Amino acid sequence: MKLRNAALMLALVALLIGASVMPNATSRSGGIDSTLESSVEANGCACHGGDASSSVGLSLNTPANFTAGETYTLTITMESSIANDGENQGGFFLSTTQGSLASGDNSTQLIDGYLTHTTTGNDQRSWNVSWTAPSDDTRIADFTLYGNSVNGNGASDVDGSDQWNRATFAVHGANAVVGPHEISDLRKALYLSLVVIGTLAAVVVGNRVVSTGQSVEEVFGDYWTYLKPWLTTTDHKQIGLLYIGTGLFFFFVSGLLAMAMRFQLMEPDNDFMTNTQFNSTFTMHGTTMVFLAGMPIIFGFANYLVPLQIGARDLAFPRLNALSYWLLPTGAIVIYAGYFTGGAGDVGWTGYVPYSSGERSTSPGTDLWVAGQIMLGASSTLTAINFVTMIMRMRAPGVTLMRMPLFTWSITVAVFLLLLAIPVFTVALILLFADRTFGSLYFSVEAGADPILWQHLFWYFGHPEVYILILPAFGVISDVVATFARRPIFGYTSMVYAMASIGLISYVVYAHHMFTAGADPLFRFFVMLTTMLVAVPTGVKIFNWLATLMGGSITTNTAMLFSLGAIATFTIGGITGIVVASIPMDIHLHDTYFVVAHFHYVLIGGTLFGFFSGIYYWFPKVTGRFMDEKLGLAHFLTSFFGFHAAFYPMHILGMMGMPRRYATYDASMAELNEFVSYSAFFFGAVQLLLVWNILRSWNGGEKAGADPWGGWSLEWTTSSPPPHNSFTEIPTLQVADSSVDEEHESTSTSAPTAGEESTS
Amino acid sequence: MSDDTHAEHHGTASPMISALGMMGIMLGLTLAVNGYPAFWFVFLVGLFVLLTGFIMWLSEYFPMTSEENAEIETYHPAFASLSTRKFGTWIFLLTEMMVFGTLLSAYLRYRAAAGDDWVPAADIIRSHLVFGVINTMALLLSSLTVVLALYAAKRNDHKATTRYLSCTFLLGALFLVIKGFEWWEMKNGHFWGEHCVVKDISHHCVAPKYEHGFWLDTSLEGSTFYITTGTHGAHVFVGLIALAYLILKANRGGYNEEYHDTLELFGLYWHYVDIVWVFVFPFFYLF
Amino acid sequence: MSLVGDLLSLPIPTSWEAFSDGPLSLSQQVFYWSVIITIFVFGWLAYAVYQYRRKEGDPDPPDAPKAGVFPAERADHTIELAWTIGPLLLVCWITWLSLGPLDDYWDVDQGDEMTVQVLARQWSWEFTYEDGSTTYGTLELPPDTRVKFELESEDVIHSFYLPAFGIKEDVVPNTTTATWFDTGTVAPGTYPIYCAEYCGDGHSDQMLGEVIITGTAA
Repeated sequence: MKLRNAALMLALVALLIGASVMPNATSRSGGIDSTLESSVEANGCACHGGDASSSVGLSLNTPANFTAGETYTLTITMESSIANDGENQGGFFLSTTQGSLASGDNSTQLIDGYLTHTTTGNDQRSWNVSWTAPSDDTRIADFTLYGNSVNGNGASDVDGSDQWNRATFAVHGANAVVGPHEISDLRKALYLSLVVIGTLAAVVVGNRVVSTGQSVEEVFGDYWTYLKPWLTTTDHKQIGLLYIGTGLFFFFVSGLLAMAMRFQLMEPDNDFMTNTQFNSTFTMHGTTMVFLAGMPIIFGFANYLVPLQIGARDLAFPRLNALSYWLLPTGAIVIYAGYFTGGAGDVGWTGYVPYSSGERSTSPGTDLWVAGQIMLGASSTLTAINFVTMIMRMRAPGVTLMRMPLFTWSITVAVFLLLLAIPVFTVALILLFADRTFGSLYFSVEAGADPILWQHLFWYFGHPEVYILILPAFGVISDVVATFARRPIFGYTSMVYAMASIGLISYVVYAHHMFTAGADPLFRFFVMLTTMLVAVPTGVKIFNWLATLMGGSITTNTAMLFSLGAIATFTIGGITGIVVASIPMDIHLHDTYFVVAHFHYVLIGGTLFGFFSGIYYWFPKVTGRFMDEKLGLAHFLTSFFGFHAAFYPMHILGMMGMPRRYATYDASMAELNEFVSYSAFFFGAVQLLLVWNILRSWNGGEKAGADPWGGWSLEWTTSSPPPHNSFTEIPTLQVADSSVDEEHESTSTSAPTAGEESTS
Repeated sequence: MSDDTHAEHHGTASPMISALGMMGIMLGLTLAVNGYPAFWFVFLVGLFVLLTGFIMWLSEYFPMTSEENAEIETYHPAFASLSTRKFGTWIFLLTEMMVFGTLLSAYLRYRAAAGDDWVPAADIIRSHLVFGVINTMALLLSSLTVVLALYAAKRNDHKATTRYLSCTFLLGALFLVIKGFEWWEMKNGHFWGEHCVVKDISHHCVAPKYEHGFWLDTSLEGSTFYITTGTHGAHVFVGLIALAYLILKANRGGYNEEYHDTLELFGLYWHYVDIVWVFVFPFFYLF
Repeated sequence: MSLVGDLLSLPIPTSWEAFSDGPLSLSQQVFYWSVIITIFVFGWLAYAVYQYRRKEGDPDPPDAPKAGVFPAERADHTIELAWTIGPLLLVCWITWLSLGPLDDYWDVDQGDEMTVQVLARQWSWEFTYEDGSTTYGTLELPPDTRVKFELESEDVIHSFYLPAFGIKEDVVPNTTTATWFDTGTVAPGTYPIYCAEYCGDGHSDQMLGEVIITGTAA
């Protein structure tokens, strides 16, 4: 009974409240009086016909900064096509959070701290008012302006003849730093995490003290003894593991960012994040995935395996290698520092100017985004130099260039690409940094700069970069497929030439990211042709992998499944690549979700699944233990299906016209987006299976010997895990005898003959 | 198969420390100029930490002799006539070519697009070209002295090695001082004015655009000039730091007939910096 | 449309109809070949994995990899040549098919009956017509007219995208770009305008616009 009464009371109160906020439809020729203040603040000029309309343009000439206590004259201007300066056809409402407003003349009036028009003033389209800044210039004054452009008949017309709009303007005080709102939540999170970590650390240390009877110093000493070698190592194997661990960490961080995006996109007009927050989220997601997850995981594998595969004891310059690694977490800290200073960079991972060189992009978040990437650029350049030198110079006896495993070959091509592409991007970043920090004008519209210059510099690097991301995955797939089919890879020589030609062509196709940017048509045609041509060597690789399976004895364990799944998924990604390579189709699909689908198919399908395969394949080599096959199978099946469920529909969304980097969308796309979001949550969650498998198997998995899978390359000739100096004795690569076609006889092995010392 | 003679892995904290220093510098500089003046302190600490890491790194390298830095036995090396470290240096120079290639092509793109409207820095510098010429001579001479230093080392003449390296250092320092002077004068508009080369019949300086000074925020001509020549100058500066190390070690007799690789590799870098200037000079000072 | 209906659809814009009408047209060919290649690859994959699966007790093939031994070359140059030349011809064919529609897309300055100046800014569109009038956010076009758009930006790069028609051109500051559209190819009605180049806060909501093709439905 009580409940029912309470419910009735609530309903009555709700009714009363509802009635009081119902707008009445009489005109407000004399301005907005104080009884309507809260309604207008909440709903704008909704009395004048529904929603805000972008056909009304509002501007307020606020100063760039305010000095404490100064008075400024502000001019409110409204532009609209509906009606012009006629009787009763214009009105406004202006409020601010700091300082005080004052009326300029009899066309405006101050009511209750806010400004609105008078009867005299509602025939105008612009009004002069004044604003006195507060005495505290560390504040930020937020102005809210509503303007309406109406037909003057005094009625609330919803037929479009009454229009209004809303605009906000922020004026920072001369010493204002950041919006307090943005910091405090993150600060809270930071302090909370520090408290949690501190408590956990205390618990762990305390537990050790109690259970082992050691003193606190001794416990810390133990941890330091364990930690110090990791901080000072120059050993390629440990550096490789550092890279992979850091990469996996950031993979999950970026995954969380992706989940946040999908949460926002679960329904149209969602307010889970503000637009700025959403913009920072997709920016950080892209930058993290490419530079803080993808590259580190790839070069982590390369660091660990390539020296082993070519029979070298380490990279050419081990200390430089360590520097390359340490520039990664430090660079990441610089990039992410944006979150603690008012908002991370919000310029997209592509950072197009003049948005990224201008004032509207987050500051200093964008500056930190640029600075951190400069450090990462240095890191990658040093890595490239190190790998090229090692591969060209330090191969063991018998390891000629055309006898390297395909993973090593893929890294070889990748580092050559890196060598020539990354310095260009790093310079572009330095130019952007100089523009933002020192006032240079490389990307300044007023100075007459050409914004397309950035696009050329970025994509000259950006396109080879995506091949750097995919070629090593191709290398992994080649090694894995051959091993588990128990046959040599089909067409080793053409695989090498295919990778080399993919690398070479990648430099001349970059402008296919710029088909709508207004370039010369002949140039665009040339780029379309070369982009299409890249499909040829890629196709050769796919067919060679499939041919490798023929006549084999195939084991479908997790490593093999991920490689096969990668081949299948990448094929689709490659096909959609051909679709967007064709200019007539790209005009519609550029910058839509179709492109998002394409690159996630090749990057997740190709790179991620490829390296998942690598994890399951080389885990026994690194740890001496197998990963759990049941968990692995579950990981594969859920990842594969979750991925396709989440990303296939994006092709459709793209064709329907949904642009990328959008925080909202048309209602007709709501069902698809919701489906994508749920699938994405699922795909993200099941990655925890991998983490669990790694943690469990690291010390507790079934033991593995030196060559548990029957691979041929040199890493399988040393123990699992390898000894500190990788090989007890530098091996000599033998060569199987007769060249074979399909259906052949037995092979025997031999050491390389004297004539094998030729350069190649 | 024989075991190789590669030195055992030494653990070292210098890479991590250097990276932390870089982080401090980037964080400090970025935040300090964007409204957090307290971060100048972080910038300075970062600089100090980077220096520490750098010195640690070099000091690990300092006592190395030919035995410790022995060439790794190679079996199928590309470019077999080069040592591995030399090969690596050439690869490094490849990346540097990309750096200056980018800067020069951005400059050429803007200049070509502007056509006759481009008022180059050369218009102001032309009246004071002597400084640029001295700089060019200085760099060319310093490339010679660094080669002479290498020859001196090869014949075990430690004093001469040190002397030639010091000459190189002084010439490089002279280059930077003169460049700094030029920049200062141009920034404050002193090169403009009555000494400006007269180009039109009314005796007006042809670069009125730069009447109040010519700096990187004045115009695109300014940005490209200062950023390109500045990047080159930064490379000279880094070269001087390396030279300081080389002089210290040469003074101790560290470079001799058996061990002079580092001198040769530095020479390669220094020659490259010189070659870049040979392009920068006409592109920015003469035309 | 239902979710399943959406998932199985391939919604192409109006402008693609010009190159989608016959079985030899660009988008149809791309569609067919995509399906063929996908079936081919997936089919071959499934077949091989099934046919050559390892069963308990199977011996390794004679050329199975052995640790420390570089495997003998396994190749068949004829077949490799075939699957190099084949895809090469296919992509040349697709490129050739793309050329026809390209002619149309590049045909900007011919026979325009009307020019509209489009000004993009953060965050709204402003359209100025030949008679000097201006509309904000809403583009009004007469039916059966070939319209040329001259695109300029006040601040950052935007992109003028009409998804229903499939036309898009970036709006770049310090340059004027152009695109065109023939309103006779669509039914009269209201269609959305999106900004398709990330431009900041208002990119996804404030830059929404509308294009109204006047006239009665034919």
